Amino acid sequence: MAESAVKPALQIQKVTKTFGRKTAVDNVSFDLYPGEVFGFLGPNGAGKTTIIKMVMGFFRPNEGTIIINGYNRKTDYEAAMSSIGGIVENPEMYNSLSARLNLKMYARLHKGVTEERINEVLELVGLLDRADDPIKKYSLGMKQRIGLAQAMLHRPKVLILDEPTNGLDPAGIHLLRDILKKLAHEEGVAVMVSSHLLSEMQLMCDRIGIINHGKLLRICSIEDLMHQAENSSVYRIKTSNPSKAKEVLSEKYPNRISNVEADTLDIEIEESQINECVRTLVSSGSDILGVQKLESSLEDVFLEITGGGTKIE
Amino acid sequence: MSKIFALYTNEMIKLSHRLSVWILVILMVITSFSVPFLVKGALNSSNNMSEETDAFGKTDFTKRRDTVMNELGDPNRYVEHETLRFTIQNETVELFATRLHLDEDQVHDYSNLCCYNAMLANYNFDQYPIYDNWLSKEALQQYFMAYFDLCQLNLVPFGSRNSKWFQSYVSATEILDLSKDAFFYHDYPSYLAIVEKTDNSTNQLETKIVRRLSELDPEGKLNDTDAGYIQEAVRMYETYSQNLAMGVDTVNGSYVPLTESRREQLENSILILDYQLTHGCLTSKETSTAMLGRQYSQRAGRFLLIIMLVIIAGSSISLEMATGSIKSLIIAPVKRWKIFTAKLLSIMTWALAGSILITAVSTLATGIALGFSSLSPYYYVSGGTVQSMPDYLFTLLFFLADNISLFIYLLAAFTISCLTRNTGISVGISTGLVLTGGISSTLTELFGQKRWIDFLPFSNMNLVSKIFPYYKLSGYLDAEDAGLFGITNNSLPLSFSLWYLAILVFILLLIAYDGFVRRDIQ
Ligand SMILES: Nc1ncnc2c1ncn2[C@@H]1O[C@H](COP(=O)(O)OP(=O)(O)OP(=O)(O)O)[C@@H](O)[C@H]1O
Ligand SMILES: [Mg+2]
Repeated sequence: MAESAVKPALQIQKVTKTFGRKTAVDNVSFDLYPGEVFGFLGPNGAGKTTIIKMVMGFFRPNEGTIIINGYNRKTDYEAAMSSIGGIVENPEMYNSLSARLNLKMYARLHKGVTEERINEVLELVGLLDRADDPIKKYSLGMKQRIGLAQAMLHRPKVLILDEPTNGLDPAGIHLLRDILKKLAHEEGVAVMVSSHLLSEMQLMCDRIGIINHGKLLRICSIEDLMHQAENSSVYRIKTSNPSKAKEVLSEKYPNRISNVEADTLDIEIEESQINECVRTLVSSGSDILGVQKLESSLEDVFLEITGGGTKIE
Repeated sequence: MSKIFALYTNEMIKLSHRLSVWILVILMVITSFSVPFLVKGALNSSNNMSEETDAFGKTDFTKRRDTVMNELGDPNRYVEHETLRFTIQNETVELFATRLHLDEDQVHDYSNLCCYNAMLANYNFDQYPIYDNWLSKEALQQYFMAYFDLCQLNLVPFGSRNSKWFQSYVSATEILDLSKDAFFYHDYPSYLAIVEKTDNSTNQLETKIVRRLSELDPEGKLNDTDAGYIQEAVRMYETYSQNLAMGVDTVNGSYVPLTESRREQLENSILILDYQLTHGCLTSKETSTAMLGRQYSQRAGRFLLIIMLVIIAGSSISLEMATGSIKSLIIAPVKRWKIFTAKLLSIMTWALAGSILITAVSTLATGIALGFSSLSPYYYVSGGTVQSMPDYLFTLLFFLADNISLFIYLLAAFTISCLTRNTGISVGISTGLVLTGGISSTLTELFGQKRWIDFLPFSNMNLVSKIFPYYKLSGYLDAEDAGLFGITNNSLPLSFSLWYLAILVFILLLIAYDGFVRRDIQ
């Protein structure tokens, strides 16, 4: 999918954003290609919304370049922005106006959006019957749907949704998934979705970018990630004195040991290294009560990549 | 450009869906419509009151006479007669003289009593009702004064009356005769003759005024309000002419050299006054009430309009930020300065529409309540001749000029809204600014006529009186009385004020630009 011959729809180049002394986004670069659904994954406060807000024109990056559909956002603002659509955080519109009027007003700011197109997107998100109600009478999920309708109204080349499943019912999530896949795979739209739920990403994304503390840690396809999960090579060694064992092992396998508990420690090594590892422990006088291979899920991989901490900086 | 127009259309849609806006619009219309009727009501009740008391009527004077009569008793018992002889320029004149035996403090009552008796016996109250007739009132006063003067002379004992006394006596009787003619026969020339004899003002100003009045109203039909307007106009006319001739200007009671622009203003004022005097289109009692009703109606409506606009301007950015609806503007392919411009344009559209609405409503209401014909046009000078424009057109232009000042306030509200991003703060501060607009007059009171006060923003916002220097001559209240902006008018020329405001606008725009365009949207 992401062949280098295809021109990227969105290019983010060495973008940095600081708030005061805090660096929320740190030198992030990646490309988004037409026809793919890109998942933006990271724990709370990772910097997902900040990146999206920079792309959407809310924030100015301190450094770096954002290129949308070939136009530099800084120098060609309106051309660049006309090929982008999306929702930032919660979709918020003019509450006292009807959904249709909201869409009409938004359409006025773009070229070539017809009345039929408005009906078409309303139909697509299943809100045609309620289109003349004011937004304030909408539920959270309905607002999310109308937000999606607005985001795709002008057939943008890049569609960016910040946590779009927030508030949607299972049917809504399903619909969203279908719509996004269809847009990407059939109409060649570059879709970027942010979330902190891996399971959600797994079902709709082709590629995933993992971010934490403002740094982009990894970009890979969903298959790579699952492959990694299957090939996990973490072994739990049961011993009566794990701290002594850790001392011994860390000489040979630096930075591989994690989760030192009362009588276990986890170590990440290849299958072929097990023998040697056990031998080292035994020769140093540690007793080995058992060795167990740990089953790894996608969540674990994710936690592993992001450092697994619950502390938000 | 098309983007700005699209944004502008959206802004207008948003505003037209705001309930608070319409509530204020309705309030504005109702207020501005009802004021002329209130003025009419107040007027009617005050008229009724004066009719009840029947001031200056026959019964009124009878009552007054009876009161004095009770004090003094029969007036004849104070009188003694004798024939006296005086030698004036070698001729002997015989006088059937009267001697009054009165204390000093009785003279006034005595002379009044005689006058009342004469009036009740001879005055035709039906033909010349005194109430609200200028000439009758003035002549009555002259008659009473002249009679009192004569009584004073008649206190002198017969023995002490010399030829000097006789001269005083002759001139007093002359004036008394004239005042009798003026009063009992409603005779203007006699009244004019008294004024000429007694006028000791510089340049015979009073005589000129009354002479002009008698020309315009030879039969003495005017009520005292209308006569007052004519007198005022003639007084201005004469004073201005005199100032022009002497090359001085009277500002706040002191004399300063006449500037070129002031000279032109005086010359034009003279032209207008002359035109109004000769064409009989000065402010009258009727038009002044109508103008009062109209301008109070405008003032009330405009006050609400300003409050409404300040709320709109002060909330336009911050409210969208608070509700988050700003997002759909930021995501759209429009530069932020265009959003900003469209918002300002939409606010100014409402200011304009509101001004037109108020003009229409107040014209209509005043017309219905006080008569359409009583609305006086605005007179101005163009190409050396006096022109007039209908009052509604003038009111509209007046508002347009005033909208320039209004724009500054709205821009300030808008800028504060961009800067603080807080509706409460920005609406609060800007309403405060509007309400303290009169600070320059307060400062003038505190510190006197100081140069630096002229350079304050508020002092330069009274563009109306600079653009329309003659509107007072057409019976309009000045900006201060009309409750509009700027309040005091500084002596700096219009072009200075315009430049000053242009720079102010530029600075405000710069701050707003920084607050909204350059800063991040959270
Ligand atoms: N306007 C702001 N001012 C100051 N700091 C901010 C601002 N916006 C975000 N941050 C900080 O930047 C960091 C990244 O925030 P961001 O909203 O991008 O996280 P996120 O990945 O979207 O998290 P979540 O999953 O909770 O939505 C956080 O530490 C946050 O405190
Ligand atoms: Mg977020």
